[in-house]
This record gives sequence, structure tokens and C-alpha cells, in this order.
Amino acid sequence: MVTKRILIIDDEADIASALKRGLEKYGFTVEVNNNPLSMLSSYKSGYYDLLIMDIRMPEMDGFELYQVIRKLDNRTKVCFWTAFEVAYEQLVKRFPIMNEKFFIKKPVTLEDLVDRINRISGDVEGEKDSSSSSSTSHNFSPSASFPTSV
Amino acid sequence: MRKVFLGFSKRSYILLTVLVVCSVLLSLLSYYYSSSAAHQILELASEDIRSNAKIQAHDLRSMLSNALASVSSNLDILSTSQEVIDPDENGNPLFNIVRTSSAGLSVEYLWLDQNGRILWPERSSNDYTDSISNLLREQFFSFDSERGRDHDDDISPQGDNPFFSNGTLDPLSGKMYSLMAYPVINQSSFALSSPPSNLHTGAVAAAIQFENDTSTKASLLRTQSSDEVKQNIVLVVDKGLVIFESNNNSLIGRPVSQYFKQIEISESVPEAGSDSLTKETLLNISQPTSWDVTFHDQAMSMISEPVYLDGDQVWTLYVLAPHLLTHDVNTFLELQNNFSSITIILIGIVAFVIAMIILFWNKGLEDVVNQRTGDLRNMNSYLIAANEQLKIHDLMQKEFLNIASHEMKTPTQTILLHSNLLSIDPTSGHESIDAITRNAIRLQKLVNEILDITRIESKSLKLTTERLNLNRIVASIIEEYSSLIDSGKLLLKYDAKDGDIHVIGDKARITQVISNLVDNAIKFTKEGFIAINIRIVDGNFALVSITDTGSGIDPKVLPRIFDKFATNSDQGLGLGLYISKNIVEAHSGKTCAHNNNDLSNGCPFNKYHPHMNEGATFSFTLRTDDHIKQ
Repeated sequence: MVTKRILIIDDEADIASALKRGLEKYGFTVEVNNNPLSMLSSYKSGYYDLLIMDIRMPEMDGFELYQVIRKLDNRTKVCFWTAFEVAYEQLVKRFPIMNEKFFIKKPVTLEDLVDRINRISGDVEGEKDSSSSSSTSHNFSPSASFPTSV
Repeated sequence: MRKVFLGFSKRSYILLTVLVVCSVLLSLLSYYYSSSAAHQILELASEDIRSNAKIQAHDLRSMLSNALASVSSNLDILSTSQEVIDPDENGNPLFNIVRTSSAGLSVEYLWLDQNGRILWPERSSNDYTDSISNLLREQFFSFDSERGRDHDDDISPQGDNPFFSNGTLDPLSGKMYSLMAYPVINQSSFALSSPPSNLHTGAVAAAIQFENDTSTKASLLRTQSSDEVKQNIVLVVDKGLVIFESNNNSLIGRPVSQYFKQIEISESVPEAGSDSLTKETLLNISQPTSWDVTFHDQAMSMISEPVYLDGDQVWTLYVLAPHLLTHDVNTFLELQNNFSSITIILIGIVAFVIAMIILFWNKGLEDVVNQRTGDLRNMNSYLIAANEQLKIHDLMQKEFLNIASHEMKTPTQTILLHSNLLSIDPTSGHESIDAITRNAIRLQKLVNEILDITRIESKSLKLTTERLNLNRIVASIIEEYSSLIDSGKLLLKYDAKDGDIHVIGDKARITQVISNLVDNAIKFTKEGFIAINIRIVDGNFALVSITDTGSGIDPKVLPRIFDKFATNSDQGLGLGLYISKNIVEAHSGKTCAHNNNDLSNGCPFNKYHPHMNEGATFSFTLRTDDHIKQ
């Protein structure tokens, strides 16, 4: 089994550290960064399977970061997560092609988060119809499975 | 905005101008109409007088002609009667008959024989008879120049044509008289002998006078006077252009040209016979004529008629009819005109005053309408502003919900994840427990802020006041925060320049205010220092200022820095400063904030403005204990 590499960007250090520890317990390889700018400076294109990024961050918000990342790497799946109520509306407004599946609302339990990550791993970003995901996936290996439990 | 002058609109001035022009036109029209009517009335009145005068002149001329014709006829009869011609017969009875028919004139008959001796009247010894007989003798008899006319024997008949003399003044009566004379010619002797001249055997004559006022018979001229014409001046002028008779006795005997000197001819009446209107034509009348003249500044109609006797013009009759009635009418019309003018002026003034009242009233209404319109506009602007405020408020509400949601869910998420970790691996250690504790405290702080806002909004913020030493509160805050900052980069300074300062206040709330401000300063200051100063200002106030060397306040946020949700931070609800301001105000204090590079001294009560290139200063005042005691 190939270990899935996940990069977490969240300015809340307590959250980031808890996620790293939690997801590692579920078998993922997890890197954490609290600052979008420092994350960009050390970003390894094509290295990660999934990016989980907060939206409200100092110096650069999640949407801006997404646009920069897409210029560097258009293969890695990106998933937003936020405690904002209206963030999803803003997300759809800015990126109409974005699937709701790639948007996770805080607060979420570790178990639910892992479940969402596993479901995301089988989908292609930007496609709202999940039935077509397997046949068109080319960025993220459909055979890759994420452990849902220890 | 329309242009106005003296408060009136342009439209009002146009209205006023139209009104004035209409008034003037109506006045002119009315004046012209009354003048024209007056002129016509004058014309009619003059015409009336003129025609009355014409009738009078015509009647008088007829009567005079008839009277003269009657006298002429008598003389003709006398001169040809056998009783007069034949010296042997007595002609006196005939004279007795004719003397009674005077026909309105005073006629004195005279009969001279061929030697010029008076045969009639029988009693001839008076001056009048003498003078008329002399006159007759001069006409019909020649005198021996050597012996004089006193000797009747030397008088011989001469001349045989009837004549009508010019007037002669009779000194006794003051009247003029004329002599109408016929020679008495014996036709039979004329046929038999020669020479043809000097054949008359005497002469008959009539001395014609107008009867005197004092006589029993009224004067011919005066008997004609009716009410309409009694003011008229009547003149009978003889061929010598002397006034022979007049209803004005003082004129009798005067040359008419002298009398007419004052006359100015205004115009001739259309039917006037003469084309050249001069005084000469006035004196040489051969047919009925009328003029309008001015005599002694009095407008008059002058009618003249020639009086003929046997085809010869012997007299000229003048009737001068003053336009006295016309003058009255004129005066009346002038009065009427003046009255009309005054009425028109009064109406004009009243119209103007009414127009002005209406204009002022209109202006008043306009002002009210303008004011109301202005009020409505203001109200509208106010409503628009209020609507904008509501929109902003709505937006802020949404923003608040969004941020509040974020601020509550973020620590919740942290607690949840660390709890999950602990549940998966209870031995995972203190890190999770610390994180849970920190975030629980963060949640509590958030809840407290929301509760404070609720209290402030519902005006139920209660203070538990006591005497406080501000310096101690600040010291404890410094101590608390010093442990939280990186002392290598950021320094917390405290300077109690005026020693211990006491205020009356709620310890927890004042601590909350200072903590909020320090917290805020720390949030925006990565390095440098944060200095807290407490001073006494204006005698009774404690000034607490927190100066930092941070990023300063965004100029866009500065004007509403103490408003709800005003924050540039990625963390927190933006309620801390709003709550702080309300707590300070609940203590009767003031708050302000300014950037340290602001040279305009944006904080009026903090005269200790720290002019630095970076950072911001937040200040607030509290009444000191001393002031409250006073």
C-alpha cells in the first residue's frame, strides 16, 4: 500500500499539530505548515497527494494560495476547510467548477475527516458528477486507498 | 434653482410687468375715451350755442330788415303823397299816422319844405330835432356860403336821391341814430320845367334809433333775449364801422375795429362763406357768416349777418355767443376726467398692492414649499443614509455571524481533534490537554465578549465601583502579559510619572479595558516596545495611554476603530475596542486612538503625543478619586 502524502496548511498551530498526529495514526504521511508564504517557499510540486488548506490565514488567504499552487502544480488535489459560514459561497463564486466534496466545514471529527479524505481520493477535482470520476481520473490514482481505521 | 431678485422669482416679475402694462394701457384707453367723450360733448354744446346764436342773428336781422323796410315804405308813401307834395295841402295828418308805427325802432319823422324849414314835427324846438333837421338839410339843401345857413332864404333844394346816413351819436340819449331820407318831388312840375336837379319841394326823413331801455317798449335787441342767448353780445354796426347799437350800452358809438382788436379767429365753421379768415373779412360781411373766435380768452361763436335795405347793405349784425355753458360743461368734464384719472390711478395702486400682496403671499408659499421640499430632500437623504447604514449594518451583522462562527468553531475544532486524539490514544500526553485548555479559555473569552456586547446594547452594563489604584492594575497586567510575549523582541514598559493615581471604578472592567488595549498592541507589534503611561491631566483626570511600535492603524479603519467589528486582524471579533470604549464611557471617560506619525494631534485630550514613525497610541481618561470627592 502506497502511503498517501498530505500537506496541511493552517495558521492555528493547535489544529495543525492535532491533525498531523491524528492523520498519521490513520496511516497518512502528513506535513504541516502554519504560514502560506513559508509553505510556498518549500513547496514540492507533484509530491503531495492532497493539500488541506484553511481559508482565513494571515498574509494570504486559502483562495489566493490555491491560485498560486495551481500555477506550480495542477496535479495535486486541494481540499479547503474552514470555520467560516459563508466561505463555501465565496469559493463557488470564485471557482465555479469546484465540487462541494472538496470543501470541509469545521468542526469535524477526526473520523469524519478521514472518511472525507478517502472519498476525495477517489474523485477528480473540479467534477461535480462523482459517477464519472473513476473513468476520468488522471491526477490521482484511483486505486490508492486511504485507511479508514487503524 | 431659479434666479430671484428681492426674493421674487422671474415668473413673478413677468406677472407684475404684465399687470403694470395692462394697467397703463387701460388707463390710457380710459383717458383717451373720456377725453374723446369730453371733446364730443364740448362740440355738441358749442354746436348748440352756435345754432342758437345763428337763430338769434337770423331773427334779429329779419326784424331789423322788416323794421327798416317799414320805415322806408312809410317815407316812400309820404314823399309821394299829394298832401306832402302840394304845399297848399296839409300833410300833418299823414305824419300823425306814420309816427305811431315804429315797428320796434324809435323813429322820429321829419318833414322839411323846399326852403329847408321844418314842417314836421310841429313843435320842433328841441336839440334832437335840430340836429336831425340839420343833417337832412346837409344832404338835400345847398347854402349860400356868404350868408350862412341861418338864413333860410338862401337855402335852395339840392340832390334828389334817398339816402341812409351813417350813425350819429345823440348826446342826450347816448344812442346812435341814422337818418333815412327821401326827397319830395313834384312829378308834374318835374315834367314841365327844367332844370332837372333841385326839383324837390322838400324832404321827408326818419331818424332811426333803437328804443331806450327806459322807454316803455323794450329794446329790439333785448326783446329777443331768451335764457339761451341772454349772455350773447349783439352788435349792430353801420357802414362807417361804428357800433350803432348793442345790448351792451357802453359799446355804442365805438368803432367796431377797436372793439374787435382783442378777437382772435380760431376757425371758421364749415358753412362759413369766407375762405380768408382775417379781421378785414370780419368787418366786411356781405352774407351770413359764422366763426369760432377767442375774445378776452373766452371761446365764442361769432355770427354775422348783413342787414339790407332796398338792396343796399346798411348795417351788419354781429352776435357774439360766449361758450359759457360749454365752459361749465368743460369744467364738469375736467372734473369727470380728473375723477376718472384718480379712479384709474387708485385702481392701479390697488391692483399693484393686491399684486404685491399676492406675490408676497406666493413667495411665502414658495418659501414654505421650498422649505418643505428641502425638508423632504433632507429626509430623503437621511432615509438614503439610514438605508445605507442599515445595509452596512446588515452586512456587518452577516460579517459578525461569519466571524463569530469562525471564532467559535476554530477553538471547537481544536478541542474536538485533541479530544479525538486522546480518545484514540489516551496516553498521547499533555500537549493535547494544554491545547484543549487554551482553546476552552479562548472560547470562554469569546463568549464573554458576546455577553458584554449584549449588555452594552441593552444598556445593562453594570459597574461595581470601588476606589482603585490604577498603578497596581497596570503593574499586574504588565506582569501577566510579560510571560506571554517574546521578551527578546518586544518590551513591555510602564512609567508612572505622577506616582500612585486613584480612581473610582469597576476593577474588573478597567482591567479588561487595559488588557484589551495591551492585547491589541501585542497583536500588531512584532518587535519594539509597548509603553503604558499614566498621568494626571486637566487636574482631575487620569490619562492612560498605551503606545506601541507596531504596524499602526490602517487609515481606512481609524475613523471607526472603536466601532463594532472594526478590525484588521485575522483573529477576534473586532469587539474588544468597542467594549473598551463603552466601559470607559460608563466611567465618564473618553477614548481615542491615533497613529504615532500623525502630526495633526488626532487625540485632543492626549497632549503627550508621542511623535514616532511607527506604531499607534490608544488613550483613555478616567476621573480621578480627587475629582469625585470634590
